[in-house]
Amino acid sequence: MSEWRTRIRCYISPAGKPKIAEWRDGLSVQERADADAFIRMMRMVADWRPPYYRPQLRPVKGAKASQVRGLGELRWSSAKTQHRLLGFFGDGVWYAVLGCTHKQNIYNPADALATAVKRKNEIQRGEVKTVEYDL
Amino acid sequence: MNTISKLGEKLRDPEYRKAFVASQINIGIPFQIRAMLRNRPGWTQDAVARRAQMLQPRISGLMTPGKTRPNIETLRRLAEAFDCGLIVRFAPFSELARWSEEFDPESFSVPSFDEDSGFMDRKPQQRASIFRGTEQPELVDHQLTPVPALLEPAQCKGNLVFMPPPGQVLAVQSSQGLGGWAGVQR
Repeated sequence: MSEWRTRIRCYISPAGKPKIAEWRDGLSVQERADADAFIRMMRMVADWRPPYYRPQLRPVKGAKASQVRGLGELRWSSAKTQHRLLGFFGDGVWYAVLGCTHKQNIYNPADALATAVKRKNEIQRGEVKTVEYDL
Repeated sequence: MNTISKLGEKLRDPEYRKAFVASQINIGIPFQIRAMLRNRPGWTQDAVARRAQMLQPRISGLMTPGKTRPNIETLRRLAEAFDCGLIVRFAPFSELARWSEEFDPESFSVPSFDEDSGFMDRKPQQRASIFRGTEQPELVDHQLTPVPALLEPAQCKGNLVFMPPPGQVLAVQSSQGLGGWAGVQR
């Protein structure tokens, strides 16, 4: 949609599952409404910066720094929980690859970063499809 | 489906409706504060904190989506710090949905009282500057919006002036974008 200053596309798994939509569906109603409001705002913002966006994540256990290069996260709180949407920029679009929560430097699910790296690589290699964020 | 109709579909769920109202406060207010800070050159979180008699980390928290739930007293103090008004009222969901969909965090701006064009001092000699050197006609201010299509636009001393047929309507729009006024020439 042309009104958005930053376009977001969502990861679709090799099996065709819309992983971002599934993540959203798994949230409580309040968390879903907050996520909707927050992501809408961020699509209206051209220059993503902290504290709303952390552009570079730290390397995860078992992964090299180069693998997480460019992998960032949208950050907001809802229902006393810190929420994260992990993704990366490419071709002027931000690709959302995984939604999760974060508490005291620990992601939930625990393999969130490793999965995000895997999905990022799949998108960059053109192995999977993505869809425009329309949730 | 466009975004407003998509939101309308979500709002058919009573639980989502309740959550939507809260999200407009939890998420929407931080983006409003962020936008107001961005649009006031030289303003910092520290400056707002001093004016609102709060600590800077509190302002930082209020700018973090979902982190705090500002109450009306907190919002009132922020409005005082920004020297602007605060509207708290009940509204139909359609109005809230429209506000939510039309809110632009990049361009949202609320002027302080001194910059509020709705209260600009409009002295007769300022209004009549285009008549310098000639006798100023008596004007009756009607707060009308000029209708350029019906008038002949011309530049005069930096102002965009719409000259009407004789004895009809005069309209002037400031080049500084401070709004327009119109009067009937008697």
